[in-house]
Amino acid sequence: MDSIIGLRYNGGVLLASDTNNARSILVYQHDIDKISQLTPHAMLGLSGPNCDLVNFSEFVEKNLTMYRLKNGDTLSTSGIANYCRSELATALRKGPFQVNTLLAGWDASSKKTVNGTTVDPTSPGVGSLYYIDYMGTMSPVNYGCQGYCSNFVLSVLDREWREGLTKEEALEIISHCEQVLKKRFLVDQGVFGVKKVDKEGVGVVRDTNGVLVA
Amino acid sequence: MANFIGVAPTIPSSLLDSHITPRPDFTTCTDPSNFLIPNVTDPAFYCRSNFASASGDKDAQQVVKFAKGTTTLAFKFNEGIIVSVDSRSTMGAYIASQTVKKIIEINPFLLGTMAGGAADCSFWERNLGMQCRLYELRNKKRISVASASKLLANTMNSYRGYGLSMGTMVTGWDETGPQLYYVDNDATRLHDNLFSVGSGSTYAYGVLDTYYRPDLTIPEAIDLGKRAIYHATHRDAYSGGINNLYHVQADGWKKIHAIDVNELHYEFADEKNEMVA
Amino acid sequence: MSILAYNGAAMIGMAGDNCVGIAADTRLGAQAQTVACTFQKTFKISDTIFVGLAGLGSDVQTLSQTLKFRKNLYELKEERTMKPKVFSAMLSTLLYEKRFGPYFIEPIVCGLQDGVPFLSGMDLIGAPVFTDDFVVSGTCTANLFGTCESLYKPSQNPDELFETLSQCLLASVDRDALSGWGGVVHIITKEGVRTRELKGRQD
Repeated sequence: MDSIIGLRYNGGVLLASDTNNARSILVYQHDIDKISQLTPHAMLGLSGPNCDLVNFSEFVEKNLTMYRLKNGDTLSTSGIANYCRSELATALRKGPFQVNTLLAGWDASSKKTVNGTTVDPTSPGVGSLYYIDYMGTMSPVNYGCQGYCSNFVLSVLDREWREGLTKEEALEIISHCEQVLKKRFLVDQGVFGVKKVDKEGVGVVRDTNGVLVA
Repeated sequence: MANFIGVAPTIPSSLLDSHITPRPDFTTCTDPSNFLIPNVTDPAFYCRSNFASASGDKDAQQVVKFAKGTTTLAFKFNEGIIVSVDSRSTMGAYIASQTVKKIIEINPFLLGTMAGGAADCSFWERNLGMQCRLYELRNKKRISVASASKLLANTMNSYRGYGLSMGTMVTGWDETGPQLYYVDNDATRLHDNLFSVGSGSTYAYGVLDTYYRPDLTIPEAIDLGKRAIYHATHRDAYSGGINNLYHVQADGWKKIHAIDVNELHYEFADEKNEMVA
Repeated sequence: MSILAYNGAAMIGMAGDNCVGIAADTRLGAQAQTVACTFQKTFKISDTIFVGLAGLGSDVQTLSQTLKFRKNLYELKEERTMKPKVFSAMLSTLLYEKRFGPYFIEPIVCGLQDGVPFLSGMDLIGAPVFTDDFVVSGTCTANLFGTCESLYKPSQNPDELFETLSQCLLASVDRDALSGWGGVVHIITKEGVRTRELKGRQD
């Protein structure tokens, strides 16, 4: 019943997720963080059982750290996406990680291509977002979601997303998504935590208690 | 394979589940109590496991599959009611038709929408039209939307458990003003300002709930109705084709447009590009 | 629903006069939900070989990478370029390696072997079928066979082949709920590969 929503805006990416930790018919916690920071400029929003959620994000994060220590440089966002994908695809046929994810990252403009298009070298860097499901199906997207919420909010994102949004406009879209879920989705999603990644790196926009961080 | 017996005027009461009420006693050629019933001990079970027009792929194991898959919506606003639908009919992944008329004109003041089994909807809404006409002749006045929807709900109630599939909105303008009801095959009957039904309904609700206001102008309401259907057809594989849109007014319904949703896609894409530029 | 139809796909390989073409749709779905409209299902293996992978999205990506890896390894070891027929055999073997836990992919191979069109298709465990006119795969093969049977002509030039492939693909996916949302066509000739994107229906 997890909801992860992500969208690109001018110079970065926002990820929003519900903060409920539920199992069966019980909600254990109302303030867990389902968006984990992988590198200073990449974060992963996960939906799935808590154990897979923690295991997978920590596994990826530690391996990325090891990569940085070995090679002295972090992986690009597309590199991280491909790494996550291959881990999930390999795991699929031997006890899978039950996690559906959205990967958000920011790359300096010197780094190759984003979403298949060559980046203008003078631009201030670009945020990119990847849809990766538990089977390891990966697709770069401008906006996306994971979980049942996709049935309700994909149309809102289709309607409202456009190239070159400001961060404030992107936040407004997320609040529209929350309103629809509150009204139509049977399962109460509680408050949504929101994080951003841009030139300055990953940061909290709204914490797991729903409080806006300046 | 069980045989179909000849005319069964009514089901023997011994075969009726306690919750199935006896059928209304119509005296016309489409008398629903004159359907042939499979000659098995539990006809309801036999029907729902072999001839159910189930939604989604629940009929995958069923030899007989019916046309279905839809997005329909209707909402009430200050200037009347907008009824907007797609036109795709699918049988499994195969698109059986892209030009289905999912808004059924019951009479000049009543509209019904079609979601679920195409045959179930069109038959029972035609049947409803007949019942409404009989009411008019008997009572010398038009039937209210509340009564019309109740007639349909009663019919659905009498076939509960037989695997009918129908999610419909009955709308119209009567002595009490514009009215909107939702009736489905479980005989659920709801009265509200806004409904969307079908496989693409959640997508339609997303757009509808975000932009709906009771004080929309008529052009705004028409625009909202067509956008909500377009967004549903874009994301839902089982919705698509043409957007048919009707406006229910005090002097009856009016057909507003029939637009290919693919044209809407590029129209809306251009709008966004202009905003970016 | 079959795993092969979970993400949705439609693709055609077709032979022309000294040219061969491959066309595929671009939808990535999760059953009824369309997740993305830019999913790559056809892959350039070399200047004269393309492979189309229809089936489970994850396996499309895994297999495309494995195929490129094995083809490169072959060329390094053997010091010669891989021919389409060899590639097809390699793909067949690769699929059969997973006989008891298969990749959920039904691939098609299109290539020019010494200037002559080569086409093959396979089931998910690598049983090859070789044809000299056209080969189809995906969630609407019945539709694709219908359009291809009626529009295919032998010895089409690259422009005609492009037109036929495009018409066949677009007409077929318009009658399939699980594929479409855009398409891509590659025409392979001795002179090189020409790729064009198709504007398909968005519903």
